[in-house]
Amino acid sequence: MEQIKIQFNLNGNDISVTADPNKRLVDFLREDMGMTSVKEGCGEGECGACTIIYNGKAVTSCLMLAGQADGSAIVTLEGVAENGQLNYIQQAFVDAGAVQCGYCTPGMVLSAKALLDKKPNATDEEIRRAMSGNLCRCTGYSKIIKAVEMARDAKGGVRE
Amino acid sequence: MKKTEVAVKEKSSVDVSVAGQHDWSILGKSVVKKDTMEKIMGSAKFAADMELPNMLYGGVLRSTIAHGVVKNFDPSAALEIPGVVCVLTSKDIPGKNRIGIIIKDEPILVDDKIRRYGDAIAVVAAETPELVRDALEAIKVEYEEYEPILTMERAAEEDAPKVHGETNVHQKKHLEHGDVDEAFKHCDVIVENDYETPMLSHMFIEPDAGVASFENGQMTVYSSTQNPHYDRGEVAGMLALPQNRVSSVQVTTGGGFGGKLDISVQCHAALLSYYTKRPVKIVRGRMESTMVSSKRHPFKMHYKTGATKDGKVLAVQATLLADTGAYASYGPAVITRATVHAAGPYEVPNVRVDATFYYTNNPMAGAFRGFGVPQVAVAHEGQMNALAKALNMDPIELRIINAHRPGSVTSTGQVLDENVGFVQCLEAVRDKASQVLPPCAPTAPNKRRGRGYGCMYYGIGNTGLPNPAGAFVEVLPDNSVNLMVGCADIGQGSTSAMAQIAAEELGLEYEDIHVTFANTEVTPEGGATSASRQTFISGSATMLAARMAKNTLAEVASNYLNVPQDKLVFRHREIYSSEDRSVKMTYPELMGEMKRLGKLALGSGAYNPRTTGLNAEDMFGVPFEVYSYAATIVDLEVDVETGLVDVLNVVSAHDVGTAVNKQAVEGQVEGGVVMGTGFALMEKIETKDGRITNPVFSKYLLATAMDAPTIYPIVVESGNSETGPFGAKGVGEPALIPTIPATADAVENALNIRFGKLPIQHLDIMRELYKK
Amino acid sequence: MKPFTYHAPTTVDEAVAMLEQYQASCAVVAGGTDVIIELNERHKAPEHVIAIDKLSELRYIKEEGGLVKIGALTSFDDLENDAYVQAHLPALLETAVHVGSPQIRNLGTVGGNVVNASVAGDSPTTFLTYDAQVVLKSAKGERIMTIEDFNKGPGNCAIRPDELLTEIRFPALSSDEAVGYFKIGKRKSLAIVVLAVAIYIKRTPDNKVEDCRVVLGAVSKHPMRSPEIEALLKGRALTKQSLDDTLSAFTDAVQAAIPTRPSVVYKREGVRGAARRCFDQIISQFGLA
Repeated sequence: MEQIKIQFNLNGNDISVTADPNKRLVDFLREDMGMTSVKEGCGEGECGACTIIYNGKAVTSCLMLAGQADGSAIVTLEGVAENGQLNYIQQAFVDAGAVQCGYCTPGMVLSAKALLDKKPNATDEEIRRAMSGNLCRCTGYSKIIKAVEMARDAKGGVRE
Repeated sequence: MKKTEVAVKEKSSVDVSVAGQHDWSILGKSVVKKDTMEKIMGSAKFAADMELPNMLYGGVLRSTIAHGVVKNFDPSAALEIPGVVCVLTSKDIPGKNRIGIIIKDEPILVDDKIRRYGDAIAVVAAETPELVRDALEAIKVEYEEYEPILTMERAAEEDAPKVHGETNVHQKKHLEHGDVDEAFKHCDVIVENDYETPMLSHMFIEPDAGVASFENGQMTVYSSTQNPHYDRGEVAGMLALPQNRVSSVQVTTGGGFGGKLDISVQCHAALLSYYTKRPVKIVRGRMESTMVSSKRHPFKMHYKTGATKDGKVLAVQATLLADTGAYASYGPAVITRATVHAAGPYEVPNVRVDATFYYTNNPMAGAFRGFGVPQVAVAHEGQMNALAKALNMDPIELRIINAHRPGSVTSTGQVLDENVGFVQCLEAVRDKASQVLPPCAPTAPNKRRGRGYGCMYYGIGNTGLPNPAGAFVEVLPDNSVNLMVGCADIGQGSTSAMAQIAAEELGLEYEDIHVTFANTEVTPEGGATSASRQTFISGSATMLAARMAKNTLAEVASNYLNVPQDKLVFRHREIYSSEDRSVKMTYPELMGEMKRLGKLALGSGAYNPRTTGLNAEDMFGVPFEVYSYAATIVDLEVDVETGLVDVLNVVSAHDVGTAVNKQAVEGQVEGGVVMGTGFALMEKIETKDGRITNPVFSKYLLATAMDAPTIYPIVVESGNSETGPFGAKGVGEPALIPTIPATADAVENALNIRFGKLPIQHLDIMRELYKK
Repeated sequence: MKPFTYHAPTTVDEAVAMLEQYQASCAVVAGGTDVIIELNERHKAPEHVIAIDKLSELRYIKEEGGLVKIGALTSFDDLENDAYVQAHLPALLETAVHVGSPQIRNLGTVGGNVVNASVAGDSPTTFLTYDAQVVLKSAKGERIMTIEDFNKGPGNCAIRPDELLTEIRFPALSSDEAVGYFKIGKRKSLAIVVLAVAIYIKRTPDNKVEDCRVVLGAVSKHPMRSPEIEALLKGRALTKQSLDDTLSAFTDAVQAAIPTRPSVVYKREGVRGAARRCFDQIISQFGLA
């Protein structure tokens, strides 16, 4: 099996690595890149725990191959904080009490970020829809949705 | 016939009350939970995230039949694969090959026979996860199949093959309170109905995982678990090691709900590590996780409830049948709890319950948020709603008439103390609903709207059994505190609640408390994170440990300030006289004085709830020290063209005694509400020949953010601090329970059709609507 | 997953040459939302994997020569956010917004959805209603086939191992044509199709049904037209009452298609609600509401 070369931007850093092609993007990010915030909950794109931001869009990295990272820009939760400080979405999750077991949290934050990066003024309905590909068994979604609404409001609709 | 005596709790041997003090400095505040920061930054390490040097990967070969024996087992092709390190079977277990929290009937690796689809036959270790899969595919197994027992009806038949021993009856319970037969003669109204609830899966988002490492004679097991102390015992027993040679560490756990109380990967990983002398990680895939972790017991129930025309319930008679599957797991706890709670949170003078659980070759049923109480709540609330209709009474009013109150006698004869806030819950949901819910009118011609009602009570802790927990406290020279509790935190926030309790008792700040938890090497017994017991039991232990440390501090402060100890107030890092606020010292000053005197501020605490065992013949006794209460109203719409239900609003009031962390309590309630609507409307484990056919998220559907209703959680604080740490009870499981019957009731009211059998899925609705 | 050689062509010609070379020993990954699961679970173990997600030339939505042309790699999110789709193809928009989840819509492509040919797939029903054709490219040339002939289902379609589906095309709609689409899923997101109905109607100047296509999704092994219902609709006045009078024929069609399947109990009833909402959409699109 031939190794492949992957050049991409991970959390703002340009990276060039060789990797086994026969692994999914979630495995490549976790095992090769050490991005263990990317969680696997189902392996079929249903739970959203492995959500990353791929070229500006939220995607489930369990449905992609390692090679698809090549040429892309990827953001994982490790890359969301700014200078070690919580970014405004993370802060809103903390303030709202939106974190329980924490397994869905990385994917939730990234789905929220993918939305608010594009639509800082997202409506409540757009927020609910943007978060609807991430399952949570603990919170009933109440405080998670509230957190994203709080983040939107805190930012006053000003794009980062 | 039944005696009229009542059971009263023993006088407490330890005092956890704080009479008169309700102006708390830390308790009741919505603090940021201790683990939130690492979880929101993405740095929290779950078991699957762990990497140890030289680590191997493990996997399990599982049976593809539900009942039978292994006739031939040939691992040779697997062992020939380079990178496959070993294949182990039951013969390789040096110690005990039977595990189980209550009854040790489950093999770690099958030795005598296979009792369910997915029983573990062998374990494999290899250099990579893909090689593990190669090895599992290469092992050849031949089976001899026996007739699988797939229904309770078949299990009960005389000629049915036996899953264990001589009978397929796992357990029977009988509760008798008052004179049921006589009471029914005096009832003006009797309602009699059947109810059925499905097998359910916890569907925690993190599949089970763990890493074991055997080094210098010490076995360390890191795992996603709800009970590391139990895991320690099973691993030690398997390896014939003393318990102190096994360290069991709970790592960040991605949800449990009861599904991570049983042994999952701990024994298998430990066995592989024991043989290979290398760390071994096992991460279950979603399918394997769902296939073999415990399930909620499916119940069939028959209820007969009688009342006077004024709405006073005189008698309840219930028959409960449940399928515990291949192994006991928590079955004995579920049957006991279901029986005890079968009449609901009502003072019913005459109650008879007969419960029978069967072993079958179906998936193992065990603990799942509520231990059988959600199932009986479907029935006892269905009965109350049916009774309200039969009597033409308001469903809340009917409940208020019959509600447990301080001094009420339960169906086990227990006299309740002051800590009963059920009527407040009922009034609170009624008031809130009248404020926030719109008129009960459909929003479109193809919609029907309904309101539904559901209540529950829930005994906190294990049923009539000792279940102690402990805590250690050390106040350090800079007045930071090390608190060590056994209690596993699975995301519900117990660690933070313990820190709040310790901070409150010591008069320090929440930030001053560092909590080490659920690590058997350093923390004392915590028991299971189950039965909504940790706030109450580990919380009490924490308070007692803090109080012991504080006693030393108080002695020193008393001498220094020349104020009697009982007049000292510890609050916000200050110690002062309750009579003269200006007579005070700071904590740093106190710790300086402690240092000068050569004293250490240490404390240990242990708490075991005051209960008495239940009589075998009638279940008379005090099964729980304290009970939580809840009432819920659900507002929903049914689309009569598609059968789809839209749950719009849920108002849910919970008497938690004292809310240690309000935000965390709300979070529990909201999560419970959505799980409850799923129970009523969507969720169901399907099986074929004992094999689960929908073990994945694409087939076992959970509500998404778009399906979740608007939730109005109400925290009721019955706040009497006779019991529990600062009067706190528990909320984890109560959060789920009342929404289930309330949702079912709302659908039935919207359509004016009785279902009784859950879940009420879109196809059930359409079938009933268009019955030919 | 089993080892394979990974290829990421950047042009359609390159991709087609690879297909010609590897034929059945390769798997094509477009959005990957179905095939990656099969690879990971070892249900598929190809020697070669050709990831075509970098073929940006196959990502377009355009009207050309009276045809709406949609590149095979167009994602559902692309459809949802496309101005032309929003303005002229409400039924396709309705289809796209109800696919899977946001993440799945970002990854999943229309080409993949059509080739995957799942019984519970979203877009094949809609495309059949639009009377679509698929464009298949190979080293030997190009084939154009109606989607009706293309659908073999389930999990099966008339594509050769050396072919790449490059485009889905269908006639642009005039103001006298409208399409309605309604999907029943078990929840509001992450829902596969339990049942879908899509209806195309062309009207006469006096607002009668001149021509129509009625397609039922997730009823048969692939999206299915119902000639009986179509015959019943033709000539009817475009009023709610007149259209709704045909609803029982939908029940009959489902009953006839899957008489013994347990799901018929649900689908034969649910289909009326889905069809009624398609009629409502069509009446609204014609401005007759």
